[in-house]
Amino acid sequence: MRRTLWQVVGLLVLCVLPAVATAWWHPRSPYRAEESGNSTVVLADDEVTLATALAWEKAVLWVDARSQADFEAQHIPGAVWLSAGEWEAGLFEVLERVPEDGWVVVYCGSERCGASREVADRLRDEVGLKRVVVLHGGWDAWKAGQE
Amino acid sequence: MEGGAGIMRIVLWLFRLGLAGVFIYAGVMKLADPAAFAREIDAYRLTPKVLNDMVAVYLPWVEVLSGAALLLPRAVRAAASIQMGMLVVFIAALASAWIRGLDISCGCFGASAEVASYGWLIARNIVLLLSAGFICWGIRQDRIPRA
Repeated sequence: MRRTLWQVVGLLVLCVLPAVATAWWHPRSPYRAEESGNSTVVLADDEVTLATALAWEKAVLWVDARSQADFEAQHIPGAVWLSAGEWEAGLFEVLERVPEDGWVVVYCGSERCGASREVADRLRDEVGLKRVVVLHGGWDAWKAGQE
Repeated sequence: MEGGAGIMRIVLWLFRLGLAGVFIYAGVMKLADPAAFAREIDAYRLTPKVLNDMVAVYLPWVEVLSGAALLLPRAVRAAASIQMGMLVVFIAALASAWIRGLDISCGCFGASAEVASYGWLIARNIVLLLSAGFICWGIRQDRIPRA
């Protein structure tokens, strides 16, 4: 029991050194990009920034992947509500309004929510839509852009 | 008796291998982008950012090294204990986020976008927790100095 305890302490202490090294040298260390500006936005393969999506203007169909309550309170003008729970209902409208040669941009609450990716993946995998992307920053980014 | 002990050892080895694999993989994936992992911890809104940055560079190493230690004959219980501790914390964090209705990406395997179905994530962690517990118990039962 005591030996185990010492080993636990030892292991936890042992991890401190590589942790410090990571903090110091890792190119993607949380201690590196301190500024909250746009300079170090890291986009996933299927993400776009708000600026990019806005530049497409009318060739965009916004898809809201948040809860129905959130959607009804406020949403991006012209957006279609589509959630995993109510798939068929929303999907019909999405397919009706998808712009030709345009883009479907899915958003959820913020940078960290997973619902938009879930919906985007389903649209690509199940429905076969090709130009589907996720809005980086989600609804938060939109609101920030409105200010 | 002999045969039983032999089977038990094999079973324990399989569990150790499996659990080590999961933790090492999880740790390595987080080390790919510690800044992103820090943001995922932020999303849980449980701890201050200062702490999250530290956890983001430290935790992955604990995962990797405890995973590796699980395969060493004499460090098994220490490694499994640490992992049980981590899993309890993960389960609590997930449950907390679930209760508060947060829509977040789990952060379980670094920046790889996982579908955050809370029930599934918690269940998975419980299975891992039970596995680590089984290893702790089994190693002790085994009574053979070199596992």
